[in-house]
Amino acid sequence: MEGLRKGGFGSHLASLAAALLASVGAAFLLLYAFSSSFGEALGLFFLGPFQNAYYFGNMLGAASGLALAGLAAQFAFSARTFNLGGEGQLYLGAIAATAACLALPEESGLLGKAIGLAAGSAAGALLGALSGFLRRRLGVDELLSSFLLSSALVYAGDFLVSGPLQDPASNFQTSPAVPEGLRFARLLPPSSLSTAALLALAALAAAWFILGRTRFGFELRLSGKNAEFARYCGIDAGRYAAASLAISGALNGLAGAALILGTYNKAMKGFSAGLGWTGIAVALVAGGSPLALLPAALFFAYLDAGAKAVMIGADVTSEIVGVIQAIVFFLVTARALDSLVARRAAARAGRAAGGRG
Amino acid sequence: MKSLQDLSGILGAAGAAMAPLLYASLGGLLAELSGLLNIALEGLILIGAFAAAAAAGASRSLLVGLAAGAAASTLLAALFGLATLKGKANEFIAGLAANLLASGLAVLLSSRLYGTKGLLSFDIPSIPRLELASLAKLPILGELLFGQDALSYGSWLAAFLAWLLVAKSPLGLRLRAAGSNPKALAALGLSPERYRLAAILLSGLGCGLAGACLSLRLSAYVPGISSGRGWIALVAIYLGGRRPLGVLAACFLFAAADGFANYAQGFLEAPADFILALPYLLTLIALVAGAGARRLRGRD
Amino acid sequence: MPGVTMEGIRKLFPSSGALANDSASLRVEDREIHALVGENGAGKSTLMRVLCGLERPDSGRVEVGGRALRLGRPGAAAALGIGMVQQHFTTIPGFSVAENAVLGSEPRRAAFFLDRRRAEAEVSRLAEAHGFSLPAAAPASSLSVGERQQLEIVKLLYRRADILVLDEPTAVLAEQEIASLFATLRALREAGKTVILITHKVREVLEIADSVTVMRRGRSVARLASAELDEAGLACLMMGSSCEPERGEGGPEPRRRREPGPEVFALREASLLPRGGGRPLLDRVSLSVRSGEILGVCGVVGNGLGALEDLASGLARPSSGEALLEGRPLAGGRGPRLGYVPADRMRRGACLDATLLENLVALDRGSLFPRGILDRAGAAAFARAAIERFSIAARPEQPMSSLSGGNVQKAVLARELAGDSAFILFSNPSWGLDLAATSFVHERIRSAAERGAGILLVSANLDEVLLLADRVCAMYRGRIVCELENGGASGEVLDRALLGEYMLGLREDRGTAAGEGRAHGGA
Repeated sequence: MEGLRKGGFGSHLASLAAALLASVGAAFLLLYAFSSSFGEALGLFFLGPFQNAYYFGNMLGAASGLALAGLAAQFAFSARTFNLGGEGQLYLGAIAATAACLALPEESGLLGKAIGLAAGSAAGALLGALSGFLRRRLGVDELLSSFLLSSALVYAGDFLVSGPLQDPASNFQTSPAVPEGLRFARLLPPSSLSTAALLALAALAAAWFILGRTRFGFELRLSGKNAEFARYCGIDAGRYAAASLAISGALNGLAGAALILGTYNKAMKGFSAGLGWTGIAVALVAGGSPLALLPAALFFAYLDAGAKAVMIGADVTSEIVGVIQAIVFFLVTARALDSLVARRAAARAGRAAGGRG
Repeated sequence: MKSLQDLSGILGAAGAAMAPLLYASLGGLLAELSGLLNIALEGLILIGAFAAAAAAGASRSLLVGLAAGAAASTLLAALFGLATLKGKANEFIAGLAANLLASGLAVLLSSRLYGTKGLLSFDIPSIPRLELASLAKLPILGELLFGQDALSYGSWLAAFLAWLLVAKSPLGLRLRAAGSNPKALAALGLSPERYRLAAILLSGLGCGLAGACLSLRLSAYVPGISSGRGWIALVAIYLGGRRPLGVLAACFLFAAADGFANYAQGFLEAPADFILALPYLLTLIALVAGAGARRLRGRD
Repeated sequence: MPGVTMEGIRKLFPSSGALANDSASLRVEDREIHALVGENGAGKSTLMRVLCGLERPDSGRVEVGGRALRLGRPGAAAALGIGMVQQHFTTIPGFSVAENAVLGSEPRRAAFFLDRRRAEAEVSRLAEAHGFSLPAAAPASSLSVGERQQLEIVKLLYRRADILVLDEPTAVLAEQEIASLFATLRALREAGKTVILITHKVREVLEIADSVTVMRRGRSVARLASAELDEAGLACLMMGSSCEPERGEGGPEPRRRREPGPEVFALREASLLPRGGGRPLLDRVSLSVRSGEILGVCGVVGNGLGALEDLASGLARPSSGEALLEGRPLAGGRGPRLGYVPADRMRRGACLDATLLENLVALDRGSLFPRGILDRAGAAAFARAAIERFSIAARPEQPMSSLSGGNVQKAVLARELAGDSAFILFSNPSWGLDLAATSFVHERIRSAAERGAGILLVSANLDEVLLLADRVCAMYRGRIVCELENGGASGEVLDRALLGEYMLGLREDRGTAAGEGRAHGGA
């Protein structure tokens, strides 16, 4: 089991380095093309995140959210399923956590926090499990179903935030803030870094242990690597595929809940948009190892923080990050995920063979 | 339904709404048949819409707009194709990347060129329509058959051409061979990758026309103008049984469902969020129903 | 005038580091049937793929009919009249026979359109001219394996190939089909074609070939007229120094036969229907395996051997009837009492993406993951022991994909024979293995039976079944059509031709088979 990790690790380092270089190069080019003061923008982009404790703390705070979202994507990848519903799972998880915490009294403390996190995870898990169910029972490709479900439910989330959960005292489309006592403590105030970061670290460590050292993790990974072989060994591969989607959804929901309790404290319309996609990028860069998610998440948080600094200090819109991410995607996947390609190719071949009937 | 005239109007609107879906879906179909899942349809439509609006606005010419839309999408499709075929990138992730790239680039260019990230309206000549007012007043199918603009009729022609290509030409045979058994093609000295690249470029062309259709009709570019059509187009491929005429029917079905939903909104007062979610929900339902039906028939 | 000359061909596969061809050479005369023989991995297929332009060699030259061939270009090879029927057919099931045949050089109408009618007429004509009965308009998916092979040959003839390369063409055919293939090849030779046949079956070489090239470890070691050869000599040339054919004089070491014990596995009137309906894959099959005996089931590809494998391993549930392991119904999820060495060892029998260690421990998860958590020391010790006992040439942490086919099969055996299975299912256990690995596998099967396991040996390889089995059943169209004693008290081995007739449905004594099944069932 160790050998597998080691075997893949060198190539992950290589692809990580490639991604780093590519994104730095892309940032250079884009800033050159789209800013009126290149030098200033460049400085802001690359050094902005380290400018002061506030920016730095925000970057670390963002990284902890990304690590959780990345773990969600990676857990699905471990069983070779694709969860593209991160956006919706995260958003609805956050809203569920908000709703739960708003219903709880201020002094419910640690238990209250746990309930909030559980509510978020449960909402995400439900969505993920639905895709898992559709795949297992009806053979609906989870890649499409999770995306479509999530895309539709993002609007349901918008509706909730601007309707039933709307804060009557606010002019913005936002829920009321959750009680003080239920929030995670800030570690570097006024930045967004909170004890939620420790939660993320704990989740990564737990995932590392579960995937690498337990029977559950072993069977899950075997199911992903080769479902036929897993079935042959008496493992119900379909169940693990469905389970991986539910767990992935739960982790996304957890990420959403942690975002509310740690960073935002209230659900605003579309506040988490894009995080689900970035989570996938983080997972792709990290490869198969949960521990590699940490540097990958930091890296993406750094890019994002740089873009925000440029947006505030210079005249470049923050969408520059999307373009940089796209370039990273292109380059990283050119190497990584060969086996995922193989799975889809096999599925396609199976489809073609099925036509013989 | 208040009157048959209403129905004719709804179907006519569905015919118009079908055009961009159909262009994109036919393009995606060719890629699918050649063995590549083209997830990038959404982004390809978006960049096509942006390029078409910008070029038509600058030149005051519809044809220039169409050409620019087609060219921009085809270019992005080429990037996607090279990444997957030459770079061996995962087709799905590369497709997502193309989508991200398209939406990011559109915003960057918009704010750089026009100083805004919002709506861009242009002075673009209107699209020629069939001038057969009397026939268009026929009940039920009048608007659908005789009240469309050139881009709608163009989409029907595209479906016919795609059918000829897929079912009747050697190229179509090879394209399908590339999808179902690339080794068979390679053993004959033909490169499956080249046929896939050709299919990808054609799907870029289709999406470019789809995007142009959206923005030229509006005489404007709105961020997110593709609004999920690329995904629906993708599902239409499967719902249509991976055949050009089936895809035509599936696209019309989606457009008509959308049309009825809009019509119903007039007196049902559903929240706007629900209407926005509808395409995704419908797509999901179609997908699940299709899979369920296949299960029942015992295939797959 | 020489038809084909290949010289100094060298081909290294950088990804696996395998030197497939090492200054290999080949000379084939015009209008002869030439056999290219050698063990698995000797480089025969690679050499032929080079000839057909499907691989570009690192060095070497090829002349065809006196003209130099541009290497690495399938088009150039086709232009000089070279075509190949690959071991895995390149038929496209969704296309019609004619579409398959003309793909890549389609007749056209008005420059743009495919002329289907002309394609079908031309393909029908070619098929008839060579004695094939191929329906040109029918979907290729409706063809039998033998017909698909004929289609592959028609495909080449349509392209006016003069030099036909066939890669292991007899591997999927029954005795009688082989005879008709050979008749076709002789007719092609008479019609002026040159045929190159890749094979590792010594007997066939002597029957059909005019001349032979022997390859060993990427090199061509001999070129002989087949008249100069006998079976033993050819086998020695193929294997090199370690020349000990399994069935030399006096046959193999006779297995110490024990009186069969109680029944450990049985199928009772078990049927398996294909999803979506149609002819049953298995039709009311009854058989019984007793402790300590080897029951062999043979048949031609496509007659239900795969379905039998799925059913007997518990991977598929019978649509009707029963599959019983030690008297209890086999239900989803294999337990430790059932060992299973599948035919598809690369996909079903092994997980190539995982390490050797992970492959070895995949079955006995109950004891290697006490309380759900990996016992690392225990797993490592288990793997070390398995590697040693089955002499697997690999380290535990090595990825399975880097193992040779023979070592993969040894790893499968190590895992499946580790426990004390009451019943072990072997499906085509020596398929694609070289002679040394084959005899290793056969020896393990025998020793498992001696230990007292009941063994079901499902194989398309008649030699293997006759060599090992105590009783032999033949399958045809999903049914068991005979059940015969093999090498019983009289020590007499069953007649190949007789079994071939059963396998092709020319003969059937179903009453006997069902009766036997029932009789054993009652025991």
